[in-house]
Formats: sequence, C-alpha cells, structure tokens
Amino acid sequence: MTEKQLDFEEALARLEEVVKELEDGGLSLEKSLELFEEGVKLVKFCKLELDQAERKIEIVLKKDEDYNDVEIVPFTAEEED
Amino acid sequence: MEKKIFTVTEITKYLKDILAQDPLVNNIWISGEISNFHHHSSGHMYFTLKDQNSAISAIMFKGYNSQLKFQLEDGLKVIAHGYISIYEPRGTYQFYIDFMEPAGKGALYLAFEQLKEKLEKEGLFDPVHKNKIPLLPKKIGIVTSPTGAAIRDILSVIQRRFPNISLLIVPTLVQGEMASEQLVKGIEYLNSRGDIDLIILSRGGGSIEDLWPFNEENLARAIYNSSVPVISGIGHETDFTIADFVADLRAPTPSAAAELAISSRLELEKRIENSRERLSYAIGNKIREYRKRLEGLMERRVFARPEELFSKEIQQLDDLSRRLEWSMEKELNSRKEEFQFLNGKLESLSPLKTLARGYSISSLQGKIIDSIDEVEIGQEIQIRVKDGQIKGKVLNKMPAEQEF
Repeated sequence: MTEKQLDFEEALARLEEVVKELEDGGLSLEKSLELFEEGVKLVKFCKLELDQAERKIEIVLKKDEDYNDVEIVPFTAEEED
Repeated sequence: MEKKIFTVTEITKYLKDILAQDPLVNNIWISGEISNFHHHSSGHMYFTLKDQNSAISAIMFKGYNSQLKFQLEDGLKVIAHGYISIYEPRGTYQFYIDFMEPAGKGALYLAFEQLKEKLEKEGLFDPVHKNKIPLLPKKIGIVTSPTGAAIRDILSVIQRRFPNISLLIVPTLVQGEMASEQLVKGIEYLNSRGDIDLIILSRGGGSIEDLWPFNEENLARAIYNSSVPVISGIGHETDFTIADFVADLRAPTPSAAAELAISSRLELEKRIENSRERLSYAIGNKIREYRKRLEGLMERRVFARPEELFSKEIQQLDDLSRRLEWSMEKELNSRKEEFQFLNGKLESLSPLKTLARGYSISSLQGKIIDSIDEVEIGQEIQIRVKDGQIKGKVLNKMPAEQEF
C-alpha cells in the first residue's frame, strides 16, 4: 500500500486534496469511486498514525559532557522541585 | 644652582612614579568616545578615548577585554575603569582599562543588540533557513532544566493536548557561565540520535542576566546548524533572546512552545473526521447525481412511450400519402376533363357526321382511297355510307378534268 510510505502530514494533506477534488465534481463515476476509495484508506491511515504514537517521557542521564555515554531513564515527577 | 641633568629614562621613570603615587589616577572612571579602535592579533585592544576637546590613549589587555559582552567599535560611548600610567618607550601616558561598559544602556543590552545585528547580517534569522515544524512529531527532544517551571508547564500542556507522545528530556543548566555550552551540546546530542523530529529549547522567566545563555553566539549557531527543527520557548512573552530569533519557531513561553510543538490531538481527529464526512457526502452526491440522471433518462418519452419516438415520422407518412392521394385525384380529374374536351372535339370531326350528310368513303383493303392512282380497274373496293357498306368493282377511272 503506497499510503504506508507517506507520513502523517502528507497523508492528511493528500486526504484533504482528495476531498476537495471529489467535491469539485466534474469527474467520471469511476474516477470518483477511485478517489473515494483512496480517501477512505487515508482516513484509516491517519487515524492509525494518531493512535500509534506512544506515550513515553524519558530523560537522558549523561556520564560525560559530550554525551559519549548516556543512559535513558523514565522521567518521573519526583525529580521536580 | 647646579644643573641636574636627567636622562630620558630617568625623567620618564620619575614622572611615572609621580603618577603611580597619585590615588586618583590609579583608580579612575573615565567616560569618552572610542576612536582609532584596533584589536591587535595579540588579543590586546588599542584605541583612543576622546571628548570634544581632548584625547587619551587607551589600552585594554586581552585578559580584561575577553570579559566584555559587547563589541568595541569607533564612535561607541563608554565608561571605563582603570589607571593612568606612562608607556616609557614612547613617553606617552596611557589609560590602562580593566573594565568597561557602554554609556547610557547596559552592557548586556548593547551586547545583545550587537550580536543580533551581526547574526542578522549573516542571515541566521532569515526565514528561508527556517525548518518546517512537523505536524505530528513522533518523538520530541526537550532541552531544559529538569527541575524548572518550564518542563512542568510543557509536560502539562502535552498531557492535555496529546497524551500519547514520546518525549526525551535533555537536562541542562539554563543560567550561568556553563549554560550555553550545555545547551549547545544538548541540541547536538539530540541531532545525533536520529529519532528526534522536533526540539523544544526552553527556560522559565528571569532577568536579562538569567536569560543570558540564550543570547550567546555559540547557542545561536547550534540552533542554526540543527537539522532537527527547534522551537524556542524562553522566559515570558516580553523576553526576546537571540535564540528566539534563530529558532525555527519562537514561542512566547514554555507552555506556548509545547502548544506549537504538538497540534491538539482532538483537532487532528476533527480534521480527519471532517474529511471523512465530506468524502462520504461527496461520493453520496455523486451517486445521487448519477441516479438522478438515470431517472431523468428513464422518464424521457422514448422510454416512457416509445411509440412517440416515431410519431413524427408516422404523421409525415400520413401527410405524404394524403398528398399523394390528393394529387392523383387532381391529376385524374384534369385528365378526365381533357378527355371529355377531346372527345367532344373528336365527335365534331367524325367522318360519320359527314356520311350522314350524304358523303361516302371508298377504301381498298382498309385503306381510304383519295386518288384514282390508288386503284386499278377491276379491283374490289368498299364504299362506306351512312348506314352501311357497299362492295363495288372499279369499272373505269378518269382524271378530274375528264369527269363524266
């Protein structure tokens, strides 16, 4: 599926383009159905992308100033003042 | 009185000692305008301080001038501190400066203005160099103090707008001498990771001194060189730092930086939903449009009353046959009249009428005789009279002039 290569932003932009094209009309029934199908796929893809993002808050613990050796650990509220 | 003769060195040293013992010239503030400024390759600065009437040579050694936040240049009005002494090789007195600040405005303010102007000229603030902020960043790097108000604000905004997002905090100092270098390294580290698609550079509010690391040139260049887009959210709305000018997007506060970094999930969902609805509606419209066209076609007479398709031709045919009939009748009538006329005419010319008046017609073998040369004597001829025929024989014949 070509949509997989798009990122969310491109997919959303293409979706809005498809909608506009379809709304403008003047297309054959076949082309309209083709666009509709593409639009439906893009909607699915965008929704999936939104849900795929993972909630993770981490903090870098560096062992030296130049970040040659780092450790990534979860960030917790306890570290706040 | 005996003449005391000094060498040049002796008198120079004498004068130098006098100056050295004077409390005023050894701890003095002087205001003036810089001219003939020269930053020597040794790192020392040589220039003249002057006012309307007088001038004094001045020197600021590398060790002192490296502390300057702002750039010295001709025409700059300054207040300088130091001492006055004599430079023996040339016998000139000089102002040895150990501290200087711009007259009027503060040194930091001037430094800010100067750096801003310099970087602006270099094009670091140019919109063409601004990276586009991604609509849905997968992982955001946050360079800030892990204990400040800024990170709390950012996290709370993100929690509200888009809970399922991945964040990586790079803790740094955000004020003091060490801060700018740490901020630079933080940005460089996030760039080197390859999985970060947006950086938030942030700090809570503070004085111009507190915010100073964000006005440092090295940080400005690190932001400029970052291939990952950088959003700055430094201090309060009224604070503008050099970092803000170089950043791909400047947010007025840390919270605002978080808001600009991630579109509200709700809004994105709305956008998708809106598109989905319009998509359905548009295709529905299309189908309705086609159905209507189809229905329109079905209602057309051809399909509704197909006989009407040919009604015109039928009518035409009727018309033609009517016309044909009429013209044939007309033709027939005119022929009839002609016939009657000719018949009358014929009747009046009929030889029968002449016969009735007493004439006769002679014929030989059906051929009417109208000359004596057409018969031979002895031949049988027929003579037609009014009421029948007479058979006869030619007895004699003679021309008209010898008539009986």
